[in-house]
Amino acid sequence: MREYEAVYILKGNIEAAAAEKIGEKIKDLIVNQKGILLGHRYLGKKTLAYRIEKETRGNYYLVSFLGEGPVLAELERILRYTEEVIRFLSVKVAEEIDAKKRKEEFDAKKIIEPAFGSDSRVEIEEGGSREAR
Amino acid sequence: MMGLGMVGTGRKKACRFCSDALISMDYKEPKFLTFFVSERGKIVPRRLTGNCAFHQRRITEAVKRARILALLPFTASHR
Repeated sequence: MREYEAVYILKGNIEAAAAEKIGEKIKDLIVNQKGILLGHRYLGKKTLAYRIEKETRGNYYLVSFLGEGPVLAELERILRYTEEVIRFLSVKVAEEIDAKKRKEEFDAKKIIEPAFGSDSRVEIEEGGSREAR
Repeated sequence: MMGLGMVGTGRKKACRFCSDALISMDYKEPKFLTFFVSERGKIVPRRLTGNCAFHQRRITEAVKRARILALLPFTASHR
């Protein structure tokens, strides 16, 4: 199994409920495709370095999971046709992962997840009602 | 501190990533990556940063990924 992570950006003015719904859809998708969900996390709302689809701000989300190629293909397909997603990037983190061990590591929070740095261009706004997972 | 520009001093800077393995290099950390990007948004060359080839490649990849996610600009002339 491989480990992948994907960052997707939702429109800046999206409602919390709509964002939650997209998150749930992605989580379900990974499980349905026989992948293992490691984590799904809200990274914050930021000012984009350049405009994307006329948006100047975006809500960043990170999803980490284990799986084979088809899981990723399906995830990318969904992200591509979901209108609220203005940009996404998927990255292969590691090859040939021991799924069980990795899951335990993740759950035990041994994996230190990076936080966005705060500078003038990309400041973090408090998520408010949105929980950071 | 002389900053990144050590040109002409004849001293070879050691790669900071080789000497400190704990520094993480992540495309999701734009604040860190701005250190390796010029004011115009260009990637700073190895001869100025002092990185070794291996770590410069990682930096380059991280910067390019960050650009895709609009964490860093492709150019300074974005509106």
